[in-house]
Amino acid sequence: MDFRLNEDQLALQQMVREFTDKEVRPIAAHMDETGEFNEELWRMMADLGLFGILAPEEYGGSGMDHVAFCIAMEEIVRGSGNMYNWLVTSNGPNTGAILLYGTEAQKKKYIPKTASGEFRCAFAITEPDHGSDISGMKTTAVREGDHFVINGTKTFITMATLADRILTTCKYVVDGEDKGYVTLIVDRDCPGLVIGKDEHKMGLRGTSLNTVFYENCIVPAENVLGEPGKGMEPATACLSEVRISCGAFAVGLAQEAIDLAIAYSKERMQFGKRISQFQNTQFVLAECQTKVDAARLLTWRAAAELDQGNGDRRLGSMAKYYAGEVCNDVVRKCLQVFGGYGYCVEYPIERIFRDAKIAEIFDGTAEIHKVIISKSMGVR
Amino acid sequence: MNILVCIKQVPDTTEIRIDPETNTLIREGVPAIVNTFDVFALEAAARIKDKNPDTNIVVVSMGPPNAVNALKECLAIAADKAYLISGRKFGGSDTLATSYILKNAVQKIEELEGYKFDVVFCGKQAIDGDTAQVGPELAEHLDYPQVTCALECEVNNGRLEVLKEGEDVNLLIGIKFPCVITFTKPGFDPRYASIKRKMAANRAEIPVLGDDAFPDIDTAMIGLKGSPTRVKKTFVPQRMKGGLIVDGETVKDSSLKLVQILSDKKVI
Repeated sequence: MDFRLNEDQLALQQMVREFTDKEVRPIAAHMDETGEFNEELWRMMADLGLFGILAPEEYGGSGMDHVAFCIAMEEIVRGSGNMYNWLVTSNGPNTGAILLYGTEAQKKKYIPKTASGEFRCAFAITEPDHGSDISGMKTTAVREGDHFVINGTKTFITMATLADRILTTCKYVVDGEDKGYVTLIVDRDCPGLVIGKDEHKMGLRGTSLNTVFYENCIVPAENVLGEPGKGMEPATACLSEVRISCGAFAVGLAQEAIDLAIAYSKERMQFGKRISQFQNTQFVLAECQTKVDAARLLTWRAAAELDQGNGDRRLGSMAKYYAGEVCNDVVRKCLQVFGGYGYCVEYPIERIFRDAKIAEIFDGTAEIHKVIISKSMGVR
Repeated sequence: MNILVCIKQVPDTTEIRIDPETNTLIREGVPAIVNTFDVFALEAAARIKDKNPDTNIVVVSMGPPNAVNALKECLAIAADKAYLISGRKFGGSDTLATSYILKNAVQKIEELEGYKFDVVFCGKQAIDGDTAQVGPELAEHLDYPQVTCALECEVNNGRLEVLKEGEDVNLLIGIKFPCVITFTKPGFDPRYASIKRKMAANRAEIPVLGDDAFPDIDTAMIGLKGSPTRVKKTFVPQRMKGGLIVDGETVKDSSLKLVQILSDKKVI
């Protein structure tokens, strides 16, 4: 068992770390305050290849594995949690599901332009009345001649305002009857696609989160992903990798919080001493680092197993649930090291505290992942 | 178009400390980087390639075997091929000997690649030695025209137009091929290596040209023997103590105060 990163992984870690230090962290507060999308940063990240880490080389990507993706994710979110959304919308289902279930024409049309950053993507499955309970889905797609007609509403759709296409999973209705699900690639210019207002969120404020309305939305039949009726397959195919990347997101935020707390504790003087000299600070930070390392290893293991072909959902769920919980625990403790200043917006730890909460909510709440884990243990 | 970029692996001088007892650089633990000005030269080459995609960019470095890491960094950023010049007989070379070896390297690489370089790009100086001599000396050895301290350049009507940094005004200079250009810090940041290029560079095999690759080289002109420069002493300049700020209500007040201080100390 070798826990060391290989030469390629170390090189990737170093290059994304340097990029984050120079380009991402300095503008993180501005992104959070204004919610502005930074086109120049997007272009630089595209040139770096961050939107095509998982895309195969033949489709314009770097063809790297999930461990590499986790490394890049951890490093980039240390600069700004919003970068999670940028990386996952490109590298996630919009690449992975199309690779697995797309026709060759779909792969050639969508993956290279996603990897190059020319296309921006979103993925729509959640609805106002259902989150983890997919069976409650109300959005329908009906085949009419050479196209599908979608009607319904999707909510909490990350980056929908910017997306050139939205991968959308709907109930598949034939002659008025439910025939399973269908996943469609809904291009932005499809008639009847309406993007609603941005949600005003607690964290990750630098990326939009929208409600999306499908009002007799017409999608060409050639945009169906996989087989109509089996649309949940492409929708769930990438869940493991998304959950693992959630783990990397949580680890990255937590590590950033620790590093900020260490630096602050060495500067802050109380009772004639640096607060890093107090044993309480030392113990707190030691506990935090140990937990983050454990979460990182769990995340990397899930990624490495996925790279070896083991897509066991339990591993992704354990990584996602544990890293999310550790992240919130660690960020809270690190903010406490800052005392009153940690509560002030000028200090990045305040933003990280708000960004961290989503790690326990998005892509399956902690509770849903505990259900998956306990089921796999035979606890029923 | 064929461009050769000369680069040097140097210690990251922002991380360097001096041993106060021996007055020498503490090199342990100091990361090695591609000389900053050489990165600007590589970026200039990459910008030419952006506009002329059939451009070949070759990088060359003279240095110890681990200088392949700097060459790989250049491959990751923009270079198509790299050569390392590394031989025991080259050790101890000063700028004159180094530029002579590099001239031989230029010709050797041209022979191996089967084409002539249109331009040779260098950084204006290395951040560890700060001599700014190798580029100009290389031009003289090659008998090529040269422009130093270039900010940017562009291929135009079969020649190179170079914007040279001047003290008061910048100069736009047209220069015929083949030529040598040395670069200073431009007004833009060099590009980042892409992940894909970085991974390919990690796996690249870099040809090493050793002593035996240059059978006809004049051994009296290389290494310590061929180096007229002698470093007599290195020392750390004495640190200046904290300055004195002379302030007053008006410029006149502070000027008078300053004159009084200088006068008291018998400076004026």
